[in-house]
Amino acid sequence: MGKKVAIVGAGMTYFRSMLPMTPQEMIYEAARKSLDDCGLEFKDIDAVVSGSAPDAFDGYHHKGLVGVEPSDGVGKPYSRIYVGGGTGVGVAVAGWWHVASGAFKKVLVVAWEKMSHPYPHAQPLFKTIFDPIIEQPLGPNLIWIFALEMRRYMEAHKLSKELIARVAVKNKGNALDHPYAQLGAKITVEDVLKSPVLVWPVHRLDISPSSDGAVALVFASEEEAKKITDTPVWIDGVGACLDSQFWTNRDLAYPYYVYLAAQQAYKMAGIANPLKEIDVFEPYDPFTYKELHHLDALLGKPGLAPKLLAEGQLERDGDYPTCPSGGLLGVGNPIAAAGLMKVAELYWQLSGRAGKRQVPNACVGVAQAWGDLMQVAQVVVCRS
Amino acid sequence: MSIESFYEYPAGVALSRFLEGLRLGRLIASKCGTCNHMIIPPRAYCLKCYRPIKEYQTIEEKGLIVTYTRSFINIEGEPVNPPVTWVFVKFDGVDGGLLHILDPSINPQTGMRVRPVFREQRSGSILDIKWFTAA
Repeated sequence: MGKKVAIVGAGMTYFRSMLPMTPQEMIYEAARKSLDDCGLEFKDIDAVVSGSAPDAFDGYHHKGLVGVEPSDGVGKPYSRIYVGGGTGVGVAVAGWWHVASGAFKKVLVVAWEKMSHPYPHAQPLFKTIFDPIIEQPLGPNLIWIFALEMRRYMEAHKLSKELIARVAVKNKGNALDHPYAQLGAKITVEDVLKSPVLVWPVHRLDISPSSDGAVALVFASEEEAKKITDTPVWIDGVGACLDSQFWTNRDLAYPYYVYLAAQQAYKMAGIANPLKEIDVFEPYDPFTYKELHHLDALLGKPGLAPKLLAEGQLERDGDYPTCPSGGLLGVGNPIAAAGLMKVAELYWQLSGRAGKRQVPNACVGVAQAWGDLMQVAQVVVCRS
Repeated sequence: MSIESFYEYPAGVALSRFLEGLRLGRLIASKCGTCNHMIIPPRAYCLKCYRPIKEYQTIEEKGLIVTYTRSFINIEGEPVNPPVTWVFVKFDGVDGGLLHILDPSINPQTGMRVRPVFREQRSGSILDIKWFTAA
């Protein structure tokens, strides 16, 4: 299906709660590093695919245009992809279209976020994502949607808070080995349970931070990739799927739309049994329970992920390493950049460049992001 | 910087029927004339067979708590005391459901049967329901 597409370079900025840089400066830094990684120059790039989350975070509309100059998009096809929190992996899916279609040979894929712009916090901006007639008058905050879903998930599989808290312990621990991470830390289950309850059952340490940061990847056609590098990482499958805009119409215990997106990607990649055939998992983990919720769907088995977590199988040295990067909980959550960081992690893991985070003999990986009004699934499967 | 901007949203064809129902103290769902699928809040088109909706029905107001949460912060992220309990309620034979506040005197449980408490003064708003309470 389509022409073969390789990731040949990657780069990123630090993820921090507040970077003293403009979006343009962050985009340039990530793009420059990704090109240096594979020995290319901006002039070698045929098209730019960019991604960033809501305009409201920056307070100016059409904020995609800030990426044009620092990515050398002037005089080239340049587009901005936006599917909310799913943007980071969605931008990689869109980058794949560009090359798989045969229309472009070398494409720069870049995603960024400045969540420190809204003052004092981005939280109030989220209220405009809710339906203006039947939800906004009730004064919803973003976290309670997650709290309702988490509670439903916990009841469906009889899960304890203690077990779910282990996701935060694992991911923040993994992030200690990520050179760009914001919140790498050695914490305990007790630390999570003792952190303030924001919207029960969600505690502060169940939530990823708000962050600034940028990530860039270079995609190339098969012919070009072989000229550029000896260690290309192939994008073997992509998938995208949505559920209803109205979360009252969704199965809160199982994100079936993530399952469908994963199945699209697996079919393209020739993967019949993800549990046996995938070496590295990077599911979207903005909240602790979401890693498990999403991994259930990536594995196609509701309730399996918490069992694997309890057995220690999701650790970096377990049988199913999950978020070896440290994930959003550990590396940070500059929305669009966070999703693309997961695809970058697949590139680093599968090309043997992950340093202290390296999962031995990793050949196949899956990355997934989720967003919009909590109902978008974007999936990428990579193979070395 | 700050942005000050005002917006006015029409409720639209289907949701206007719902809000008018609330004003009258009723819960209104849409019903598909082709496949009989019912949904609340109502839609102008059927989500099962994608035919236009022409029928709206008052439904049994007692529903079941599907899930619930207790928020210790408000929309600004500031602490609220006492915390607010939110419930997601589904109704027998009707797809979709309603999100609302729970009567603070009620201890929520999944599967608990609840009903809306309508205010005396109603204007055709989701806030015409004061909260849900035990049925």
